[in-house]
Amino acid sequence: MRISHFITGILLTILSLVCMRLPINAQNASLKSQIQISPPIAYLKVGESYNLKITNNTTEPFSFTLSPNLFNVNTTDRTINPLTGTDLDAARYITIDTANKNTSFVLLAGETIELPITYIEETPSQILAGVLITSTGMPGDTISVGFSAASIIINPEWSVTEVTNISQELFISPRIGVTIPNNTQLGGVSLGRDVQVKAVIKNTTNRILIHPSGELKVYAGGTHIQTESLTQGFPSSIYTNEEFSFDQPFNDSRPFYQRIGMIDYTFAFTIDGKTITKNISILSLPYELLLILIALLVVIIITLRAIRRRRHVYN
Amino acid sequence: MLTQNILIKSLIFILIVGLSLGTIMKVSAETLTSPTYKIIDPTISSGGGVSTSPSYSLLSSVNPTADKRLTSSSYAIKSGFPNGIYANVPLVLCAEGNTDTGSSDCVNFPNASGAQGECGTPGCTDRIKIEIDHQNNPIDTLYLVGILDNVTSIQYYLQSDHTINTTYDIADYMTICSIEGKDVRTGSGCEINTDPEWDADLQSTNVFGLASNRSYTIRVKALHGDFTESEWSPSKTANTEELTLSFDLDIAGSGGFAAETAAPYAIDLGVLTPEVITTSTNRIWFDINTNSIGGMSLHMKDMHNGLYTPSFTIPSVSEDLAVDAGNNGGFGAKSTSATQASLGPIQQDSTYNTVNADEVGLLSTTPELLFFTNNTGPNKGQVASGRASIVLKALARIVTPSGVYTDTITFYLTPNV
Repeated sequence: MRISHFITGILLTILSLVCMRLPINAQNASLKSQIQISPPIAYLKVGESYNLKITNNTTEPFSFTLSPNLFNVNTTDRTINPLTGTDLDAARYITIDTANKNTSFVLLAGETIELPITYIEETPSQILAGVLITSTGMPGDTISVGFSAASIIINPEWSVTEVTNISQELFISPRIGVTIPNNTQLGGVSLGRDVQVKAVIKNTTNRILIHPSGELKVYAGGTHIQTESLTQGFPSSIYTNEEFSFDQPFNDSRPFYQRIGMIDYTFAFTIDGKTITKNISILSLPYELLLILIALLVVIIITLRAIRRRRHVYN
Repeated sequence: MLTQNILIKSLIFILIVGLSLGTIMKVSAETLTSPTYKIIDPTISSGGGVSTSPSYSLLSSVNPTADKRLTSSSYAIKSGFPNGIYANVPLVLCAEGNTDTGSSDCVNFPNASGAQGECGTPGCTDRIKIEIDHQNNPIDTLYLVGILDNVTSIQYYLQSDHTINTTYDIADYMTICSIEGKDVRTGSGCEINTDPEWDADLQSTNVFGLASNRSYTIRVKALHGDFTESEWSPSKTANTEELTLSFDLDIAGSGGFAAETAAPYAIDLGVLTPEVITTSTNRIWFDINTNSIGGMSLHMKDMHNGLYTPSFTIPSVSEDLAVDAGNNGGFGAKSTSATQASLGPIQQDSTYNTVNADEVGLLSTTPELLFFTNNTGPNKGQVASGRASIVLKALARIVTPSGVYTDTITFYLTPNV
């Protein structure tokens, strides 16, 4: 046992000395400070172009290549991933319109370069086209580390059919009555001047909703009384099958006698300039009116009783 | 009796006619105004002050000769009754879209780092923050904000919904509380975060819908009742930035949060002693900044699914190297830090943000998510002064052939949508 232990120890020592030296040299093309890419997202319709601006804020030259690339949308963690192992050719969707089709560049310290990119064909669903800016530093001794930054293209163009396919609901509370929201229907009865407006939007399409906007318009008897912009509360994007809801308080500050009647709430949701609306009508019966009616009723009852008593006395 | 009745009815008739004439005389004052103008400060033979009806407003004063106005090219002194009721000319305390800690004049940013702390580095793309110095105007004074696009020369005005438009109405005159979401004066309704009018979002940025990479001139005027509107204040300039991703690598030890190292970068795992887990002495540090609302993702991939020689590859799988279930050694990365000055936060993907000291995530030929930001829940996609780091770990077994192992690691920085 002692001999075997001794031999094992010797072997381990020899192996260590023969050594596996594994230097990991992270070569990174002079990224001393920061390389700035702008814009990281370009909103283009097919046939449109944009200028990709790359600024070298380091103190050394920055060598890089520019190449078309495809990206897939990860709806779980809401990230855009470089697509690998695909048969799709990224160059089919975008072109890099540089002089002499050059794709290798050296940017001196402090310099900025603008490179024209054209979006030439719509990508398949859930796939985005873009370019990769890849550092091309000196090769490492054994292990090199590279860096790529992406600028991707998103097509914001929507057909009317696509827009109208987006699920949209509208709720008003508190109110008494029907709870099923629908287009232009009696949604219930409201007693107070404060209501809560809730809208739900679900992206039932296979595209990403970019820059959605919305507003709430309130009409009374056909007369517009208030508009609330909701866009600031919207997310910048809504992924496929994602749902977004918001609550918007609305205070009807008009006198109670003007609040009697139907009040129509219209929620308009807009994407790419195309709008769909949802309406709900609430019958407003201010509680002040009910109080007055009750008071009148009391007065009438008292008056009738008094008349009866008088008749009783005369009889 | 009949005569008395006739007399009483006559008196009632005269009284009705008199009241009617009185009403007509009052209405005739409408000839001094119209739906499109108001007459301010006419000379009235007697009396003075503000007169109103549902259809007109009139401000008159008794002694117009007291309205002495002394002006030059550089100043204006206004005395007399009308000037005594004008609101004080407010000041633009700050108007910022791309400032950082050192250049910010705003006092109520929720985060550090000026406007970059609200929108991410290098600044806001479509919004700015303004703060108003009230110059002793009362709490309920209303302010109109003028916003001049310095490129197109289009004059905009801040709207009540905090977007901009070329026209305005009385609803667009707002209190400091309504504009900034905070007014520390007692009775403002937004002194502290439990007050109903307190709005943390407006304390961050409060002018929306601007163009990116643009310069704007901001002015403000005050109004405290009819006929009291002040002149425009001196202006300040605010700038918006382009949508940007920026990135940097540094190689430094565990204390290298602020380290800046020059290329070429190198991490030396040194001599791998068989059966001993080796951790890189230095970390790979990342500077990550973006003002993109969707945020960013940093992916990592390698060329060989591990450390490679032509005859053998030390495999890279997600595992605890202390266990090494495959008993074949391993190579991987472990995230060690993720910080930012504001926004984000930078989140570490669970593949690399592991519990055990030697538990690593794989390096694969398929890009694997390493760090990211998003705008779900309270998170922000933008990040200001983001800094994150990883270490590399390797384990060789006795049976692992000796040699020089190679690999190529690539980091991908992509915007999120």
